[in-house]
Amino acid sequence: MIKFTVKVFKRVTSLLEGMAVTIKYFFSGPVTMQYPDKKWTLPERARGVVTLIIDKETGKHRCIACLACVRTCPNFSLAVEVKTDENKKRYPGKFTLELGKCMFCGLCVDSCPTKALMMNNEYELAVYTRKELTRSLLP
Amino acid sequence: MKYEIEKDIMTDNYYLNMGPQHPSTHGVLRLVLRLDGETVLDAVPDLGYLHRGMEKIAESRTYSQFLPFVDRIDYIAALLNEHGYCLAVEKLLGVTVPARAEYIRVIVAELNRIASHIVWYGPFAMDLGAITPFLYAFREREMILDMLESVSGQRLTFAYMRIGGVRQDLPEGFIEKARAFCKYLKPKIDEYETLLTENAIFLKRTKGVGILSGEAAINYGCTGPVLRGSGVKYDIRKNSPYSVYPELEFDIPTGTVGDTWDRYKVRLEEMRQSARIIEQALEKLPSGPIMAEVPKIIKPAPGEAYGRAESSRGEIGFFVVSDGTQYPVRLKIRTGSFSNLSALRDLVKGLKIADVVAVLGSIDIVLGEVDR
Repeated sequence: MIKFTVKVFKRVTSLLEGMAVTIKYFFSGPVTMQYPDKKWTLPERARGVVTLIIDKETGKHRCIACLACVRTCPNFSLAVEVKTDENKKRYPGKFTLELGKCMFCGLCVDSCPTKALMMNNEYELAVYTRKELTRSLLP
Repeated sequence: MKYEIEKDIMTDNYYLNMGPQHPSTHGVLRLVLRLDGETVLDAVPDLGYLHRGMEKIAESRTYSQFLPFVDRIDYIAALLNEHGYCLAVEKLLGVTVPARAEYIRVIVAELNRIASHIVWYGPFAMDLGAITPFLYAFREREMILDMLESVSGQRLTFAYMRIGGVRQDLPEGFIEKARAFCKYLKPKIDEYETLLTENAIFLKRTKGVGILSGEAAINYGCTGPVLRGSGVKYDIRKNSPYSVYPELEFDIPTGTVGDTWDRYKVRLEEMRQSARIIEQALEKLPSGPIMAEVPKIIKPAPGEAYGRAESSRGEIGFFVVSDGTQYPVRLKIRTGSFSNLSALRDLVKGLKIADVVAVLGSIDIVLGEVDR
């Protein structure tokens, strides 16, 4: 009989101990963020959408259309149309990214020999049409 | 608890599809249950709803291109997968990874292991009707994901390790943050235990439910916490050490009976051990390069290699066959969840439907890993 009472007592207190933890947090502030009102500050390395780095002063990018990024992309989401100018220097005529295919792995950024690519901090990427998923990286 | 089936009333057996859209089958798993009343006579898992053909994809990707795909095999513990894959390809190439890179790998992998066990702990409690633990557990997971995001740039599919090292060095302030987190985590795990371990309802639902003997676990090829919960002391980090694990001190927790409660206990203890490993690794972290000398286009000599790592769900292994070109000829992926799931049929025989949910939760499967 005593054994049984002890058992019941233990079981009941076990439930109360759990409740105590919950009640403790009842008096502390919220841990969640009110998302659309407050926004995240992403770390420096956050990998968002691939973009070409544009020099602010000259408005030029460093892409030499070597196609290293196109070849390294695991999902074939990048496309570059190679053009040559009068000095036989290569430059990208078109540079498109298909966001629907992109895995945000960052292999293209790593492969670029001129460090022309970067990933920005954009993370709200939903669009209304399939067409909008294809982005041109050139300004 | 096994239930005796009453024989005096003749009733027909019937079939019930549990899943693929059932909220507590942890993904798109379909269980075909043969029932007598509410007692389960047989349970056949039907797989393949999340099959993406990972092994075939690998044959048309270069070795480094396949790395982001590896993240998506077991998306809860992506870094542990990456570790296994990198070990396999590095073995094939004969590359030695710098010490600092290996330490960084261990630190981030163990952080990921804790995050992965938290993802198991919360939903498992939720399956049994306890909603509170889920919310508390995910609070800690958020901190881990924030830390891993500051290291790799992503929150779930990290693509952080590279063949021969890691992508970037640890960011400034990470070491202090990780240390503070380990200190913070230990009392939190005690709090998890207060919420569940001695809880009367939880004990009733888990003690003695779904007993898997050590022998059966070995025969089914179970690995990870499922095997250790059955009392078999087997951990790849200890039994066939890789990376820098031999230099770090940690214990392998084991269960005694092999029931759902033991598997629960093992995972909680593993979280504590992981925190211990991280603290030591942060202490010992050497300076130096983070990448080995690896050619830009990886073309291993013809041959084969098997690399394996202890994932949070068991052994994750990659068998890579090379023919000397930049694409692997064959890549076989061995995952823990798949073998662990095969034991389910025996575990749930004779249990009630509600216990199937508890057992399935305690096995901790990720369907991405089962189907690949």
